[in-house]
Amino acid sequence: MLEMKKLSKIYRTDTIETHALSEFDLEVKRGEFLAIMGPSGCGKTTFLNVTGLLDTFESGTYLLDGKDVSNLNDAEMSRIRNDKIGFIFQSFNLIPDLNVFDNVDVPLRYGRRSAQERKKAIEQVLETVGLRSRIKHYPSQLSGGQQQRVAIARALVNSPRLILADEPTGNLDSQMAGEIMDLLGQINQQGTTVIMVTHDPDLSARAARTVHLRDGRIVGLQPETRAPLHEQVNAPSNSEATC
Amino acid sequence: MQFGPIFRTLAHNKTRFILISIEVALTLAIVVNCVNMMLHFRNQMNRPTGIDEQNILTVLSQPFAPAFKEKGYLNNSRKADLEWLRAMPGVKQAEAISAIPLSGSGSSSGYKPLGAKMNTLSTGYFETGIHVLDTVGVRLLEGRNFIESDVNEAKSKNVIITKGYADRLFPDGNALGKQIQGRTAENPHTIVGIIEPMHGSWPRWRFAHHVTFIPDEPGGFNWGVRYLVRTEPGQLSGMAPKIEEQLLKLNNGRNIKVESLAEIKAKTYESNRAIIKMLSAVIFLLVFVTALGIVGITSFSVTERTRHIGTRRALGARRIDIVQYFLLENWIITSAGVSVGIGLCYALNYALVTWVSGTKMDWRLVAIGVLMLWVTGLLSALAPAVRGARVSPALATRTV
Amino acid sequence: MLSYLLRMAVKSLKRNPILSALIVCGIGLGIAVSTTFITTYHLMSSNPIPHKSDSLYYVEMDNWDPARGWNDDKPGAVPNQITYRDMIEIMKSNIPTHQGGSFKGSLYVYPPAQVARPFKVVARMCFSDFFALFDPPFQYGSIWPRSADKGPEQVIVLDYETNQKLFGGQDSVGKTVRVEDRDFVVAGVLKPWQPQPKYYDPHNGAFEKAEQIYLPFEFLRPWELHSAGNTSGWKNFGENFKEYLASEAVWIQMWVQLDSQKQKEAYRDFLNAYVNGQKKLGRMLRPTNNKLLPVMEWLKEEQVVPEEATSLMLISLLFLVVCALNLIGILLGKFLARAPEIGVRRALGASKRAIFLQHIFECEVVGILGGALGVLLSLLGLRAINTLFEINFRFHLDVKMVAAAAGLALVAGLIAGLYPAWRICSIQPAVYLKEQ
Repeated sequence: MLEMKKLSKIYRTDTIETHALSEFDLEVKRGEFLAIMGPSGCGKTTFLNVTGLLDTFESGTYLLDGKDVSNLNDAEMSRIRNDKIGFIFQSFNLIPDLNVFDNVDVPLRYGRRSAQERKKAIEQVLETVGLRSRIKHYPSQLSGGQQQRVAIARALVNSPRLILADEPTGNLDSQMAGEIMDLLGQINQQGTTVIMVTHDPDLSARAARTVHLRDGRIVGLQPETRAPLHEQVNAPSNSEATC
Repeated sequence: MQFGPIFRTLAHNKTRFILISIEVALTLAIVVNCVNMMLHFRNQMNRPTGIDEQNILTVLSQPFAPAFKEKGYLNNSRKADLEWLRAMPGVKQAEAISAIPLSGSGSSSGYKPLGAKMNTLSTGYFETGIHVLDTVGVRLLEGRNFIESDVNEAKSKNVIITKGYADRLFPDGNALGKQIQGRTAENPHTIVGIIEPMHGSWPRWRFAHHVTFIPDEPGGFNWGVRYLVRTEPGQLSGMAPKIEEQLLKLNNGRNIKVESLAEIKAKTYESNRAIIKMLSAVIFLLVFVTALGIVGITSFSVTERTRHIGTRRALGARRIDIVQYFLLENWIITSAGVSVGIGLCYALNYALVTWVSGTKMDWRLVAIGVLMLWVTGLLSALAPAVRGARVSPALATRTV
Repeated sequence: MLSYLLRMAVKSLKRNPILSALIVCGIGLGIAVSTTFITTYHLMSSNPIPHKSDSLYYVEMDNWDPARGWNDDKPGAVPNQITYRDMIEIMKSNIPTHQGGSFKGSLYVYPPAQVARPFKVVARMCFSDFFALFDPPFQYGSIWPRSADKGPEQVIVLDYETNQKLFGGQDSVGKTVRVEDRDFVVAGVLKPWQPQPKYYDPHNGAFEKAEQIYLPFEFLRPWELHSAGNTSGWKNFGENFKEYLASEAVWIQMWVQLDSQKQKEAYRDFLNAYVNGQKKLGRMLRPTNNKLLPVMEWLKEEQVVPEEATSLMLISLLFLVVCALNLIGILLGKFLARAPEIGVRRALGASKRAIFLQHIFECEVVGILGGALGVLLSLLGLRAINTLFEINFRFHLDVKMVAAAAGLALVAGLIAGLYPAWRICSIQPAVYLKEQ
């Protein structure tokens, strides 16, 4: 699904140069559920931004779905984000002025689908996350867990190959967090690759594989220990990843 | 003061602040030039005319009865009218005149010293009776007033001219008693009197202050007969209907129209007043729009820095310090705009004077404009700044 | 897509109604002020007779003092009216399609005693061709025949208001009107007609009311009628009316209609020949300088548009610039405040272009709303200006000016929107996705 080799990302200001990612190597197989862990400032977010084509990188190669994405222009990158990638954020990032339907509609608007197709897709994906009945509600009328489920619906509505989740449960209590993780597990089981950034070991335990980042490098890559998750019947309850 | 941090903040958000500065600069340039134009038109309108305009009524007798075609009949009617007008209580003096001063309608001619090899110099002229100076309210500076016999001298008439015209005709200042001619040397006039400056028929004409009075029996059937009636101060109101009634009683074969000279002057300067009003509206709206812009920008800058304000408050800044901070920031922006604006003021003035019309600008006007914009800027920034100062110090620690 | 963009724009405007109202009012004021003053300028400088302004020519000849030209400040200038004697002579030409001099006279109309006292009117003393030249619309009847010019026959054309006053607005053709000492038969009644500017006689008030009655020119002789407009001379006007008519005094506005280039050249030759003939008689001794000015050139030469109208228009455009600057500042703040939302949209696949278009579209919605408000406000502005002047010139919006206002609004919206839209579309989405 995703292959990064010697990827480097440097942030420059007038005075300092920060290596957010340096000579970063990572391969993620189709259908994997990968957790990225590390302390604050280790490059997790940069990794996610580069992976999600929200940010560019200085050197190295990055193959996404077999395609080299290092030299794409803005329109091409936008297209890939729209088609292949779904984002889930810690703070949900729903657009407050838009109701649930319109929020989920946003990515569809940047694709080319008819009104009817869009409506069908939105209703279907809201069914999946169990919020069909809240279609006319505004984000402020929903609980945190519901908001995150709308955000997941929005990430899923274009049937992406890859879901990038950034601390998806960071703003939720543990019960809601559990529900959201179950949902991510289901999605993964249906064949979508999930990469989740977190600093919570309990969550990373839900992933099939965990990678630890420090100072923009992978510090202890656990060799692949098991087959992609979707071939398993149950979501894993423990992780073999070590530091 | 905290100039340092303010400058660094401004440098960081330069676009918006540059925009406001340009807006302030343009506003200053437009406002000052508009006021300059307004002053020009106002001053033109309020110039002394040399005429006792507040106490003069004008009367137009427009005959239609065919009898008036007879010169003698017309003359007798004029005599009767004047006799009655002069006898009217409250009337100081009355005289017939060929055209009404300041009215925008009249006659002009050109004269030069008799025998001089030069182009004639333009002057407005009035054919009028011998009491014209008292009626207009203009004082004799040199020579004598008209006497009865001046009217009857057939061709070579004695005239009274304004000082301004006399000085142009005879720059050496010895105009009194001199003869002047038109294009040809036939029928020269003799200058018997020189009067104070006054305006003729067209006060906006560049030779408005060139006025010549020629003694005659003015008026005709088609043109009508005009009178100026000068009243004792304050006696003018209510007199018009009486005059109309009485003159019609004297002779009903005509229409009578009585208007005060002040009204006639106001009509002549109608466009001045209209332009002044339009310019005032433009200035008002412009300052309003600019103030809105400053309110908007300051509001954004307060909203953007809510946390930053909270932090400052937590670190001990008083409300007054926060207000001061934003006012100072605003003052710096306005001042930057104003300094560019001063240049723009003169540039716009130069452009208007060169390509359209206008007058040079007084620097004091620019100074007043600068003060006005400073005040406008500070007042506009006050409300958002006070709102900013209400931010709770607790906000610093809260996540938004 | 358009309806989606519209919906997004409306949502964005509704999010902060006060701010949106300020934005729309700001641009609306700019459009209103500039439209008002552009309209005044436009109407003052407009073509009063577009369908034939290129075939109507104003005739000027230099009969002035050989020693001193018409205007000391403008060396090439010639008198802006002509003499009676020259008019009579050049009207003998059969080259122009229509031709004729005319002037403004002040005359008494005597209604039947029970109707009203005699009242003064402003009359246009003219030939039958006057109506063919300038096309005033007739409500009743028509122009008097050319033959009536000769006699002259006692025929009259009334304007709309005078017909209202004398005949209560009825068809008065064939009835008589007493002017001065004789009765005139009504040949026609005009519909309300007010050429703006009054191009056939602008130097006697370019924005003055059109005349109330029209009479055959030659009645000036029995009445010994002088012009009620400007009369200029450089020699004596003469001792009596006959001498006055033969003098060098200029007071007649002479117009010809020349429909083809050939006709124009022929007429120019004719005028030159006439002036050369006059030189032999000892007149017109200045260098031959005949002018045939088409309507718009003539109006320009007469400087019909007051300079203040130009200044005010320029100032009003600067006003619009200030409003646009204001708008840029406010939109920039508004858009950047929305950066987190745009970050999300970008992450969800919106390209820079899509974001840019969305915001430009929003700016144009603001522009259109502001333009609509501006047009409404400029109606008030023009009404206010109309009350400031007692002259008969009435400012009103026409289709062209509404189109101009719409164009200005769209351009202002676009220009004001470009920079803020560019800024918001080039934000780094990643920055805004992470919790602050």
